[in-house]
Amino acid sequence: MSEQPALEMLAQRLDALSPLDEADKAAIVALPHTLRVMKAHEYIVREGDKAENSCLLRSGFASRHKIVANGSRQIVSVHMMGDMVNLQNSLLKTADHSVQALTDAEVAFIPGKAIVALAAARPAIAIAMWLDTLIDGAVFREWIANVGRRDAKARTAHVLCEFALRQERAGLATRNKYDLPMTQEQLGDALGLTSVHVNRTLKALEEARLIARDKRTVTIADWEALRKVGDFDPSYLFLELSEEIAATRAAAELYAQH
Amino acid sequence: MPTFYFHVCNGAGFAEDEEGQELPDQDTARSTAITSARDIMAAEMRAGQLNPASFIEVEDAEHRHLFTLQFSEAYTVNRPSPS
Repeated sequence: MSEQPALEMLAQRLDALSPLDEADKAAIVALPHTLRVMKAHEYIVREGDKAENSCLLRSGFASRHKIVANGSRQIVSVHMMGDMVNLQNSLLKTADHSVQALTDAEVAFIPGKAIVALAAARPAIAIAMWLDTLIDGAVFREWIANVGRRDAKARTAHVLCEFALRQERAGLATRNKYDLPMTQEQLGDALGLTSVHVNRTLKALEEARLIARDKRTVTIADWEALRKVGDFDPSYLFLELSEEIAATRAAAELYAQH
Repeated sequence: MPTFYFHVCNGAGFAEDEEGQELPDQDTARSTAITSARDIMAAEMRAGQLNPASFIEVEDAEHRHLFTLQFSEAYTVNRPSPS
């Protein structure tokens, strides 16, 4: 049996965002790419570098971050299997932030020029990739609100809810139990808190019986309560988008027939 | 780099650090404890509930006690000079 093509995962993700036909999917899978196995902490893209590629995370976890003048790092998003970590670099040729592997990871580097050519040739793919970057933006907006206006407990609960639904979507886990491959320090950088404060906050969530932890495994004991504490409404993740678009298209086709 | 553990005892109870942080040396561990105490106190202050009697116990990789940082050591209070 042959293995699944390296970019099949990208075709599936884009198809879920905006329905693609078989020729579209075949064109995505045929994109030129280089596969690299990366170690935890290795940089996929560095801020300030020329960015010639957009990268698909085939396995493992990665974060996007910026480092400010005092040396502090702010993680602005966390990525997992099936995510494009810098689709914007197909058009923005200088990296304005860094992407770093949180765990060992397999990454497909796809030349930006090839992505732009594909988008120009196939509008359905262009729409799907546009949606992907728009949803990136929606997640960044949510994270700004999170670190800017929610308290430590709500912030932490919020990202735990987000990671649960995204891991479920990626087929890595269920929303009730998943591996969180981040140190307290890395979580702190995502939440704008110190590592010690993160530990205390996670302990508080455990004591309130909202979550349980065993090393890096998180069990969400009371999803509804955690969602409330975290002020979490998943609509910004647009997980149901593919169903909505399919329904809209079906309605449009029905209308056209009459 | 060596590992340091930071256990917090404050108004919310005792939070044991099972993970630790890798830091260059004990001086950095002290400045990390100070920054952490300030971070926690800032959040408490925003909620209007400061617990200044809190402290952080810092241990080395073998869980030997290195020092205790009282939260009150993490800040100075500037009082207006009497006029």
